[in-house]
Amino acid sequence: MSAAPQVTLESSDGEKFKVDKEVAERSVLIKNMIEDVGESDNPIPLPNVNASVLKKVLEYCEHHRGDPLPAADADPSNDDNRKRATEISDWDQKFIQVDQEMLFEIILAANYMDIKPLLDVGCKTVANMIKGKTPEEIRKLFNIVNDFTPEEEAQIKKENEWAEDR
Amino acid sequence: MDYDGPAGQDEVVLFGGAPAAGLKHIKLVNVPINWASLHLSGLKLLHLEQIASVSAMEVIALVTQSLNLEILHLDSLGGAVLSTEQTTNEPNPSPDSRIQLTFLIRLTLRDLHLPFLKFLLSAIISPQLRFLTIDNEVDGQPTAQVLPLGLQHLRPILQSITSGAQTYEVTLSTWGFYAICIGGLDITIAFPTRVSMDHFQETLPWLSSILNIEVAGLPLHLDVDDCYPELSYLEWFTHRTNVTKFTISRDCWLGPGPERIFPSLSQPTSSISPTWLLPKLEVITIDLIWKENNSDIVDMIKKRQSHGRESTVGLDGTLPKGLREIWLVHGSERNAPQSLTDEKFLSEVVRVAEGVDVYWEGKRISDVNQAQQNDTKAVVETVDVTREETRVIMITWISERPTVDTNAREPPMHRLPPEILVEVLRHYLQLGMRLRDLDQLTLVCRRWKVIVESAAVLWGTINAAEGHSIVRKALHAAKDTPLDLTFHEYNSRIGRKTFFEAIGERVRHWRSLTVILKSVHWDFALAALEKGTAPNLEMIHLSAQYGAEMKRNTVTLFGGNPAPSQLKEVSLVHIPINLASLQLGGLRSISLWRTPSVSSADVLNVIRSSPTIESIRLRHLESLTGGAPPPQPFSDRDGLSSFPIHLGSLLHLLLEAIPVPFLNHLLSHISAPRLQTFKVGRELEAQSTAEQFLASLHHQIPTLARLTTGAQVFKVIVINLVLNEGNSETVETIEKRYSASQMSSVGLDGPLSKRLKEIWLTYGGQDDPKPPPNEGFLLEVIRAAGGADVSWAGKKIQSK
Repeated sequence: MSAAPQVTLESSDGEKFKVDKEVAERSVLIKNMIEDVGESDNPIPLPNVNASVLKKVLEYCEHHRGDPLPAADADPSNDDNRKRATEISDWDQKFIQVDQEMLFEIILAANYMDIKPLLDVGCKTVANMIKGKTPEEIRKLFNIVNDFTPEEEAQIKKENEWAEDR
Repeated sequence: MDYDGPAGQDEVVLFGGAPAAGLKHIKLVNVPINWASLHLSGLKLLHLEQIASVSAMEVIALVTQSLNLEILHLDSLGGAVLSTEQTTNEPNPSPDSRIQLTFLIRLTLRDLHLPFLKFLLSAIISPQLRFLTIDNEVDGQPTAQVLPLGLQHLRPILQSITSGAQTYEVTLSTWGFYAICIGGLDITIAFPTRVSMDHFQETLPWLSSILNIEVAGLPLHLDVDDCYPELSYLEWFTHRTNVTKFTISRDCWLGPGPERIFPSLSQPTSSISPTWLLPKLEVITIDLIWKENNSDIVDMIKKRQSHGRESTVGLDGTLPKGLREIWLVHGSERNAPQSLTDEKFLSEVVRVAEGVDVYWEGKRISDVNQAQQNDTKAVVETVDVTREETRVIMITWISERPTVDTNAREPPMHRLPPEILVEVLRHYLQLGMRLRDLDQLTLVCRRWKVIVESAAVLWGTINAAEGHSIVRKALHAAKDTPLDLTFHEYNSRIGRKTFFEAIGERVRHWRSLTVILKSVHWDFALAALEKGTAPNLEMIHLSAQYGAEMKRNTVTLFGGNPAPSQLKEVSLVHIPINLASLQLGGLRSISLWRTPSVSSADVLNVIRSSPTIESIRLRHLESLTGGAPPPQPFSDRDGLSSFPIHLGSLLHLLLEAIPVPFLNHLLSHISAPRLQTFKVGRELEAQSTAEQFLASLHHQIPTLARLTTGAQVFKVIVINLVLNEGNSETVETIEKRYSASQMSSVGLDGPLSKRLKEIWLTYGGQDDPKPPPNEGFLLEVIRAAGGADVSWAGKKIQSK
């Protein structure tokens, strides 16, 4: 039996990863590159992804190598799609339990490499982190500086008041 | 970076030719720079003035690579030339191909090559733009000729912005320009020469027509900053408009202006009637450079209080009693007096203001100590040391914010581009968070505020339970996004009338509408649909309280026109819609419950025109009578052709309390090979109805046989098992499956498929404990099953 075809990916810091083509092609970016230039022994450069992040992304691709690819025009209003949209599988949950720095790096890499399911897992995770938190708690969580003046903040709060609603 | 170099020198190479990585702000005035070596990208401020060495394509590339730009200022770029072909190839780029500058606040285009200017105006999308200045007088192409073209491109943006605007500002100048700010967008229009009174008077109707709003009726902010307004012009303008906010500053005090604008300040006995000035004024902003002695201002404020109650203006006529805010600013560096924040002066202003809010440099002061705080001083000092106009604007703008350590590392969260944060927030909403939760996120920081408020896609799902302000904000923020609207009267926090009037204006963007009313009055809910068209409507669910169907005559939607072709799901409860006029077809589901307006022909037409329908639910439709021919008995030879209506996608069919003749007719005329749920119900109250219904089942059985040809599981509820009465029929049904010819996929009697794999038997009686199974019967079933699995009470049984 002949071995599965492989491709080499090169991270921004020059590290090379040899993986099965099927695994690498979970990335639409890489799939298109291979289709455009044909298969070759030259490594595919990924200048926006460093080795530690690429390793993590490939771990995801390896685990999901056999999954059906998501339909490009999946209708989010469809109930099944909506349900899928809010769930994260157990394996994915464990996989994405990383520090914030790595979480955002994975999201950026998934966006750059066009791996929609991984981007979704990352975004859902951040959404879950934000859920139920006040603006102040969110700032603390993500180390965001409050760059409003007190007057501006008061003005926005005033605009956001709903007490008069009825 | 600022660099003001002399002209006519050799090209300047910066940083020894190394790339300028990390550079965010760049301002170049009159310096022949070597661009190639800089490799600029990711800029937040780009100011290029009198630079001949930069080409149009270089500028466009720079902008394209700096999507976080906040300020873009292009002025007198002699080398930035586009050929007419380059711009006319694609005169109106599609929104997808335009350069999306989400954070752009200020755009200034001055004295540029006309095709290049036109291209920029059509190529940029900047939803947060607040200041737009166009001033072009090169190539004999005055701005007045360019501007309508620019506004044409901006018009869709303007109209969406103006729909929710609450503030409007106009700046007038008889010398050079005319500016209007609508809903946060400042537009400055420059005229090439001094404007004649005629021309000046034309501008109001011109603006009204170009913006499609009546400018004269709006609450306006009049700003005489940087100009020398003539009294006659001001008088003409203020008589025809509704100025609630007035700003006097800068150059108007350097010319012959101040005494003539406010005659009472220095000449209380001026011949000009004092009451012409702005009786509805609520907010006034005064630049303190106009006199070294500020006591006149104190007097002016004080006098306001001294007049009788019946008058809306003060004794000297300068300031009306309705004044709410006084803003004191130091906006200019020229002729500035030394002691701007004179303690005595500010105390006096606060004292005589008597409740009117007083602000110094953007911060409200209630006592002088507060005005003397360090941060306020810092703003003044920054402005004082800067000598260049644009720089002033920028510094003022930045220094309003609290100090941020620019050396601190950007938080990882800010590395996510806007579109990914939007994606995160889409998931956030799918987790069950409401729009008011989303709205709270605008308090996190400026970046989040801009992103949340500009992402229309986040605001399209609107529920009346969110309350009035959120519904209004969402309708505005959703822009052209399809709207999914829900009004549930039991939990709505906004009145029925208000909600439907608000959404009625956006009927063209409705994608789905769910209305549940607890009353019998639905007039408000349907008003928009009765009159207008909703070309994007895909789903409609309308439900009113029982009895509503009797209250009104039939309702005709869409002005009697056919329903939009997008409409796929229709559900009506107690609302008598005229179904015929809708000419529904291609539906995915239909549900009708107590809608007395529908006829048999209406329903059959909808079903016939919807071959891919997945769900049909018809309940309590007494009006489905007559017109249906007698049911056609089924014969095995007929095949599918005997079913005129083939519903290949139908999964769910629910027919409840439907007149028997129609029921029979429908079941005899449809085939539904993929049916998963089938329910027929009838309240068998009267003997005759019961008999009629049972008789109809005789006709239905062959139809059901056709429906079950694909079934692989057969469930039997055996009530008379112990008595062994009727069980033989079950065995017979299973057995007969084998007796038909090889060619048929169904048994001789039709009801069961040859492919049957499982038979489930359950005791259906009420006895407790349940009696033991009749072994003889079970053995018979196993034999007849011919290999299919047989289960009794949930457990598989075998003949042993």
